[in-house]
Amino acid sequence: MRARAAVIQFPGVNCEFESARVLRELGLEADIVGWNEPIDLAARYGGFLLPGGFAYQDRVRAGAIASREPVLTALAEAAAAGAPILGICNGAQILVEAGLVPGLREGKIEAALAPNRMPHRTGYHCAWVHVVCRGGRSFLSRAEGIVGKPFPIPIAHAEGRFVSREPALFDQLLEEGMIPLRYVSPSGEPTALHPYCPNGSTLGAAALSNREGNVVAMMPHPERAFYLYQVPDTLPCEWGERKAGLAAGAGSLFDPGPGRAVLAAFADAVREGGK
Amino acid sequence: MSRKLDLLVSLRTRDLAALTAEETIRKRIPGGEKLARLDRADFWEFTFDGREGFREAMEKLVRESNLFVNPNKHAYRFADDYRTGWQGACALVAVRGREDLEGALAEETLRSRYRVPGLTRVRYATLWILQFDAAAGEDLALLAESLSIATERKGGLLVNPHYQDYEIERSRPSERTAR
Repeated sequence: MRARAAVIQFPGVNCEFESARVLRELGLEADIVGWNEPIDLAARYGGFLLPGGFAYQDRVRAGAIASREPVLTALAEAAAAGAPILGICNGAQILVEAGLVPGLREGKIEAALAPNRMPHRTGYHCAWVHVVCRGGRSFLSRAEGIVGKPFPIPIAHAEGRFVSREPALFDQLLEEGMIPLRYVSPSGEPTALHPYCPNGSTLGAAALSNREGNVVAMMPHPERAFYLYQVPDTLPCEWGERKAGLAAGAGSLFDPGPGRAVLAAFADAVREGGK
Repeated sequence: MSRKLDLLVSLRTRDLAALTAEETIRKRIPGGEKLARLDRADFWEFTFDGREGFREAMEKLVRESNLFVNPNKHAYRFADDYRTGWQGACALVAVRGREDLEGALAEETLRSRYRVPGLTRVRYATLWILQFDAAAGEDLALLAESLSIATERKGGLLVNPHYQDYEIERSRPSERTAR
């Protein structure tokens, strides 16, 4: 029997179908499950993906209203039992607002995804950026082919700046391997500077995990970089060159893109029962 | 002498974001059943050098510029003190981004494009107006704090203190009554 994951659909999310599709392509059974469906999630599913979008139209703060829904209590229980949970963009905002990430103290909200800090303007920003995965505690540390090597991935958000009022928190998270993805400059060094870091995130964090590593909140969209055809051929890196090479007949539009390894690591964790 | 002028801008129709937050607080947050109604306003605080005519100049700018108010959907009022002029017993929660990016942008615009004389500072906040049932008791500010400040998953909703600052005040008698 194939492992089964739930893609949680809050009112206002808009990436649930492509998220479920790529999980199926990676060999999982994937269902889109409404946030208010009266089912025992933990009994039926081995992993959970919270997709991107605008749950409750980002009212109050992105992710704030959704984080108070009872389904988050069920997800917190599943997380405590070791189930892998991946929040992408709006899903990440929900996990942070619900206190599942970084989750150092049970039920406490320990961080925020603040509005982007960009020169001369505020608001929504979308772009391709480069991030690096340097190992750590989360299931992303097993993402084949991308650990330690910067790769391109798209971001699209207005509130993507990981912050905390606790000044030492992010140093602690870095030390404990709970920042699985960081934005990098062209030289490959992590940075919080625009435009390489699109939002001013602390330590250039693009994702956080909990201490156990089974819950990951990431702002970039791996499902939008799953296939090579989704990668712009103008990207100044090997992925852009690969895409450009398609015109010469080298490879297929449906060859893996850089985001596939991220989602494959999640799928592997679901198959392994979150261990 | 430095003085302040407050501008409060709200939707003419029922604010659906406030309505969603109201429903969430009532259903999900302990003590939320005491909340009778939640409203929201944009709260602009202009600090100026005290000169005569500043308020009239700002009223004209707001009326004619569409910078702060779209008259097709917004109602607004100026006040010397935003805490005055509210109906009934309510608590006011003013929420600001710690860096107040909106205030800084508005200040830059007023200085560079409109050249408003005497302006020294602009601050922006989202103002939440919490009206309570009569049975809510006297300590409305404390109740408002527990419903507003998001420190845990089952706690408040309106402020994430990891990037937002806030002030909680009780509404005061109207300026006319106070005189």
